[in-house]
Amino acid sequence: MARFSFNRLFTWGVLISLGTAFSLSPQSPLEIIKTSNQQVLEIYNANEKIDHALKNEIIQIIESVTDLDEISNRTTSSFCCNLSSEQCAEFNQVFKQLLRASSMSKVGRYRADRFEYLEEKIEGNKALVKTTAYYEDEYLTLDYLLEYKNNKWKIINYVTDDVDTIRNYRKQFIRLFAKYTFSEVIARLNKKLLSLEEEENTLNLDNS
Amino acid sequence: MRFFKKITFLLFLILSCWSVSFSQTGTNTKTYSLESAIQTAKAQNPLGKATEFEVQKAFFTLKKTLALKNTPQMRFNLYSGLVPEARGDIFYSPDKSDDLDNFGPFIRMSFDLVKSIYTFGRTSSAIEAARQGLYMEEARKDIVLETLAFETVKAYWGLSAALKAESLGEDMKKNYKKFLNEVEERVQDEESEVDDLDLFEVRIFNYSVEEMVQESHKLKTLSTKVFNSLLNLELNQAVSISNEPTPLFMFSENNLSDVISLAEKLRPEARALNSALFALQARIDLAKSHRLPVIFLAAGLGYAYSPNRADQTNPFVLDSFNYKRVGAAFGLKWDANISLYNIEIQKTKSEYKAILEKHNALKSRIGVEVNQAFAEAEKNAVLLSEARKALKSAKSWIRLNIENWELGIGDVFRMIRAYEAYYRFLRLEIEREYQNHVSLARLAFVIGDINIYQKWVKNGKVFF
Repeated sequence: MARFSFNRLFTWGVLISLGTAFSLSPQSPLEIIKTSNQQVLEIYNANEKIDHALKNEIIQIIESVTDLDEISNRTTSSFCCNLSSEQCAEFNQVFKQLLRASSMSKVGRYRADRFEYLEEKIEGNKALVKTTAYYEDEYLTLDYLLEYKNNKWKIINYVTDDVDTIRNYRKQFIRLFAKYTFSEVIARLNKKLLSLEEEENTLNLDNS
Repeated sequence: MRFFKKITFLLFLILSCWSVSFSQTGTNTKTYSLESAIQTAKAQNPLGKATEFEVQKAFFTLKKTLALKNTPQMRFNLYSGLVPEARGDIFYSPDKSDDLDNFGPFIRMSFDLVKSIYTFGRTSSAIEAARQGLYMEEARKDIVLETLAFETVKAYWGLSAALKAESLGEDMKKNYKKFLNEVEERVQDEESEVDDLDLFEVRIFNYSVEEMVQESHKLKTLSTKVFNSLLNLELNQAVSISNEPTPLFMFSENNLSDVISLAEKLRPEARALNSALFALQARIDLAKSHRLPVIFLAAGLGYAYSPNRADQTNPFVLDSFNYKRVGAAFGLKWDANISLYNIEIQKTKSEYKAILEKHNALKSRIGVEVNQAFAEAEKNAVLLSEARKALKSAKSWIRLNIENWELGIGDVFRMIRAYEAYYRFLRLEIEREYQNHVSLARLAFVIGDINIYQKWVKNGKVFF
């Protein structure tokens, strides 16, 4: 029996939001999203099993269209003022690594069948691409927010079923900082990071 | 570390719970679609069959009445036996009337024919009454079949809900047991953040899980029996049903008056009462015609022969054993009990007025019933839509919790609550789907044609 497909869809959104498109000429935001989705879909369709090499391939696609620094900075901006610059830098570093590790652990577990591209809105150096992701009879709305930086559009946030991802991360951290100290929160994130890396290493060993 | 241990096992359990599947159909299990279920119930249910025979009875009554109009009344008699010898004639005979000797055979035949020529409307009124009687029985049959179809729709969706609930219940029970065991183990683990508060919460919800499982088993057994009973199957026979779409309710209340007018035409009760009114009018005409005479033509043939009795050739002598007769005549028959027929006319007129009042009451009831059914269908469509939205939110809630947990920023209690909400709304969606289908079927039922509901299901939307 398949796992709850909605989560597959959601994580696909997360993955693609961290995705890339190999293109030399500047593509439109919609083209960026379409191309990266298509590339990942092709890998999924061509391979029954996603091994470590394929995972890396997918992650490469994902990371080259995603501005992880921006996502991390936007997440921490509201509470970094209460931290020292070293603490903030450390936090950003750990959080980015966690986002990568989390994406890596999700690859292969979840997927979407197809996407519907609804709208592209460009205002200055910001763009919004509205999509619907489908998996069998489930669907969710997935909107990408992109920013034009260094001659390229990159994803800086995404909204899944009206849930703003960065806002959600931010709220969770505000909640955690209200309950725990900085060192406790960082310790948790590091432990989670370690556990995800261990999980990934175990999977690699099993596969090899 | 405790925090991560806690969310990791919860995450695993929650993920493993999201696999709702439906029980497999065995080789002996027959699968019914909504349409085939309704057709089978109409064809196989004893009540449906009984009404078919009632219609047949009314049809033969009409056929008999028509036959009486076209076919004359005919009577053929044949007698044969032994008779004492009789010789001579009326002037002299060696035999006496009490002689019982020298028996010989005799044969006697007669054929009479009477045909009404003019009945002053009696025949046509009788035919009209019989014809309307047939229409009335057909409308009564439709009442029974419509009721059967509506009951079948209820049973069909009841069974569908029961099967889904059972599957969901089993799934929940299996996964929740694992979940409960894990929580119990984690409470004992000094390193874990899971504490007795978590355990209490999980144990309390476990009651709801068990309640749902028990209710779903009971519901499935009962629903199967009700469904099988309607389709005239063995009560315990395993059946399954195909999934049908839920029609979208997009009909405006502004057009309800047209729907009420349609219902007044389609409702079989209205048709039955209409036919009853026509039948009673025909009976009044029939009673009136009884006050008038009937003109008829009568004809007859007679033949008798007895070899040991002397043939009497005198035309004025009535001989019962040797004769040949033929004759025809026009006649007039008139029942003089006119006052009795006047009473009959008054009685039938009273019946007519009573049915007319019932017909008026039905018209007003149809309006109320259509309004009620429409409001109910509209309400259930809204509630189903809201239940689905809530379910989608519950899914998003879980998804978001998972996302947060995978980043190490989630919350245990929120996950448990999201899990509870997800299953609660899965269950509620099943209930709401049932209510929605039943209320739409009721709307079609009060309009007078359950086929309308089937069309809605087939087309995926409510329209007229």
